[in-house]
Amino acid sequence: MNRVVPLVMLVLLPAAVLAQASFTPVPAREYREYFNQPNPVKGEALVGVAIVPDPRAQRSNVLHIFFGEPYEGVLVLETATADGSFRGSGEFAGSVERAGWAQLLLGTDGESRPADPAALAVAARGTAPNELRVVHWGDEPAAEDDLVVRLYVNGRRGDMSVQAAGERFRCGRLDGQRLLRFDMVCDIPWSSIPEDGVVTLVRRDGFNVLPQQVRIAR
Amino acid sequence: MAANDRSVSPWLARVPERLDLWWPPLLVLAGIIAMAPLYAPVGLRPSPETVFAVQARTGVLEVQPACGRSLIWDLPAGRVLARDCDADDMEQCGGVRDTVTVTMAGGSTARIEMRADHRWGVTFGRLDGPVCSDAGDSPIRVTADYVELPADALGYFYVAEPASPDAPPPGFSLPLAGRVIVGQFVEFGGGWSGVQSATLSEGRVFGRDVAVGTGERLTLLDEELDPGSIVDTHPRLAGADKGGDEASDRVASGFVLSGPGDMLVQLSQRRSIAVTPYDGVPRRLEVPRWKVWWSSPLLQLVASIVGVFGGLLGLWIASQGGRIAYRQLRHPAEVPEAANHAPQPSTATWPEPNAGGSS
Repeated sequence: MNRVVPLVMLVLLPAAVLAQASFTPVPAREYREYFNQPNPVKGEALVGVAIVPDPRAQRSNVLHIFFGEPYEGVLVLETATADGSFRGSGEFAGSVERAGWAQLLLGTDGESRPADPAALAVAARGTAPNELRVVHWGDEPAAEDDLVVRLYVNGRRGDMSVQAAGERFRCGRLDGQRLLRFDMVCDIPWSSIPEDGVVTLVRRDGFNVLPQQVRIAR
Repeated sequence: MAANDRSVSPWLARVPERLDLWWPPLLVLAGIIAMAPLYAPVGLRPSPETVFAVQARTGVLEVQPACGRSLIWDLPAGRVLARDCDADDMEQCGGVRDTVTVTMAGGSTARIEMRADHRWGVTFGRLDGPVCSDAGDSPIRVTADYVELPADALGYFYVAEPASPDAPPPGFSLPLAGRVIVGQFVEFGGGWSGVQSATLSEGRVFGRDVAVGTGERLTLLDEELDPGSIVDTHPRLAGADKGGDEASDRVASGFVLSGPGDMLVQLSQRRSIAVTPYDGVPRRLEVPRWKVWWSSPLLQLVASIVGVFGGLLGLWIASQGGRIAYRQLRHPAEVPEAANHAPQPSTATWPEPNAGGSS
């Protein structure tokens, strides 16, 4: 009996993992990565949302996307570096039946990916417009309440802060001159994201103050 | 005899003799070639005396004072704002001041930019990390109307205030010292209305050095800057890592004048600078020493003289060799020393027909 249990676990564990990977690449729109290619110009203040990653995990081909409620449809995944020299994009289709983390397999060689916790953004968009889902590079994280969510923001050289649940979080500027896609990262605790996911990005440039609401699905 | 006609060529046979005449110039040439590995690395290294001059019209400029040095700017009347101020009413964070003096130390940065409202704005901030040991807690000090403002965690913002709503904003002329970055990239839009990115509109980079011997200034590099380019006086910090060492205490100097729609910048930096074309990668500009040597009028004169005399010497040697060879061919008995080198009759002769009769 003692020998049977580990064998059963060995069989059931991969099966459970496969069951979580309920999203599969959309044919002809699989995730691909590009280096030094012309970027499609996009106007968006919030370029990506992820749990603060470590560089090793960013080279992994496994991602986890958080769903606060059941979901069915297409998931668009995009990666981008701050300087615009690297980007990746692909679509996945599938569904989740309960709240939690769903696994995504990129299916590319991640070793050449320019891993940088501050300068490599990842965005997962569902069917709702202007809504980004929280991504975790690598294996499924533990308790959400201890996590810190990183927002990759294109502040266009202004002073940026995030207002969430009545709190103000200052953003940090990235190093480097060639910051085409985004230039700031804003770290906020998971617990500070309101239930509706709406947070306000505030851009200050001298005496000009510009707010912009974005939605983080959780 | 027919036997001599079939022997080794007389011309080839006299090659050692001719080498006797050519060995001095060949020895010099071989010495020069042998020394090439010694002087080539020196010649390929950038000249330390090169001074790069940058003249540009730009809408944006950033300066970072060097460690241990301070930069003081006297600004015209304008509004000053503490950037870390969290008040909802921005007027509580700053207001109009008649006189504004900013003292920047190493570890600070100032970015002058033409704004969307056609007024000049200066964003003062601090660089991340321990940049300078002497920076202290506050590398930026602002004195407005003779009162020093409280230190701010982020820095300050200043915008020139016109005397009246219809008047143009006051102009300025400011000294520059430290690391200077002219121009910037145009970022993707972020959905922020009314935000624009000023860029470098035109400019030139000149690389000048002092000629060897004469001391005159030579323009060895003249490059036009495309609109949208970025000039950085510190190539290593700009990411142009191609070779070259770069002392951290190198300081670019210059000035900036405000114009009706942009700024006129004049910069000077020694040894190297970096230029990043729009949608390109940073490129280090340097002038190698061999180019300085090659461009020196004195060395060009010396090389010309050496070349002319070398050519004449070569012609003379060739003529001497020809004369000797001619005399050897025509009158071998008159050239006894040459006869020592004359080819011996070859033993590999063909048997003459009927020689020795039939056996």
